[in-house]
Amino acid sequence: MSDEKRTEESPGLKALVDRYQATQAPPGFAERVAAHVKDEEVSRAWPGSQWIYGASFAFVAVLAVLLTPALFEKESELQIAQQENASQIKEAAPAIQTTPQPEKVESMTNTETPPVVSPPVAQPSGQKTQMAQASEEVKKEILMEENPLDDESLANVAVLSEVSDWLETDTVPAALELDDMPALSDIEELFNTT
Amino acid sequence: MAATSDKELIKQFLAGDEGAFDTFVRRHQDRIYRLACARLYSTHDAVDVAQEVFLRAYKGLRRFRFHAEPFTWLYRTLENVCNEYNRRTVRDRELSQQLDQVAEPGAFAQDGAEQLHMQQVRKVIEQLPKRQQDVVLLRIFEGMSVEETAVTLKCRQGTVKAHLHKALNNLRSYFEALEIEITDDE
Repeated sequence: MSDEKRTEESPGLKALVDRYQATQAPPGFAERVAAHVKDEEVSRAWPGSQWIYGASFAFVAVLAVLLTPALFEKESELQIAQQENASQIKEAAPAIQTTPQPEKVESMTNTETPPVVSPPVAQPSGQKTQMAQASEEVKKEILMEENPLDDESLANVAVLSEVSDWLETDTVPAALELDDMPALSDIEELFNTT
Repeated sequence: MAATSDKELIKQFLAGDEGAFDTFVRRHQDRIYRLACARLYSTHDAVDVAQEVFLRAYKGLRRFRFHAEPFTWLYRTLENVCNEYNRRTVRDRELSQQLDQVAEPGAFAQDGAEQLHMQQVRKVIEQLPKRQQDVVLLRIFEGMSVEETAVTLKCRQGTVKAHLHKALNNLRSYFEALEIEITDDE
């Protein structure tokens, strides 16, 4: 039995096939395909777009080659500056940690009395590091430049510095005689006034 | 005068005759559109898919080596595009169908009837395994000969006949069951 006869045996299938075969592509389908094909052909045939892409890429590549060393230079300068800053901060940090009392004194002098100039105060040997001393001196110099002191203030600061050193070390410097030590009342008065 | 064969048309196209491609499109547009309708959920999608098939053909035919019939190549492209399209749209199938119904109210009656018919075809075809679907679509629905079907599917004619035999038995059972259901409903 042929396939056609078999199909005809089933009326449902036959009707479906007849209807199917009568279906056509929508009108203007071939024209639409032709239009799309034309667009495709134009973009393929015209190499201008490729030239533009190529030129753009080359321009960006040249820019990158030219700008990259300059960027690295800037970056290295920035890194050097950051390293310098970090070393300065490192130098200053131990001083703050190891000598809290002078800092307190300085802050007091900053607010109330004119800032500090370091008088020649006897330092217990081995108590402060060189770095701490250096940073302290730098701080004092800066404060001095900003606010010059009169003689009385200098004397007060000297006394306070000595006291703070004693408090820190719990020892009286050997270089000082008992007569040189300020009286307790003087110290109290000094703290009260400040 | 005998019509120019597909291979001749492609040769002319490769030689620079754009009109040959237009003839090729017009020759196969209805068949490709119908096959797309049978494989997709919407006739509107079928137009887009058929168009995409011919565009891919336009790009790909430049590399055509004439080892197979051009329609075989076109049918394979159609299958690939339909699969891609179905994968992409299966999630929002219902929304797509709603949009189809809303679109172009003037042409709704005709489009709606065609859509309904193609959905029936799709429903019938989906009763069969994949290989039988191909054979039934080309041999029964498209009316191609056993030889043409075998060439298109790249298999032997005996294979086509075997698949067709099984497919028709399956479809007969399906339609008998359907008619019994309809009779029971009445």
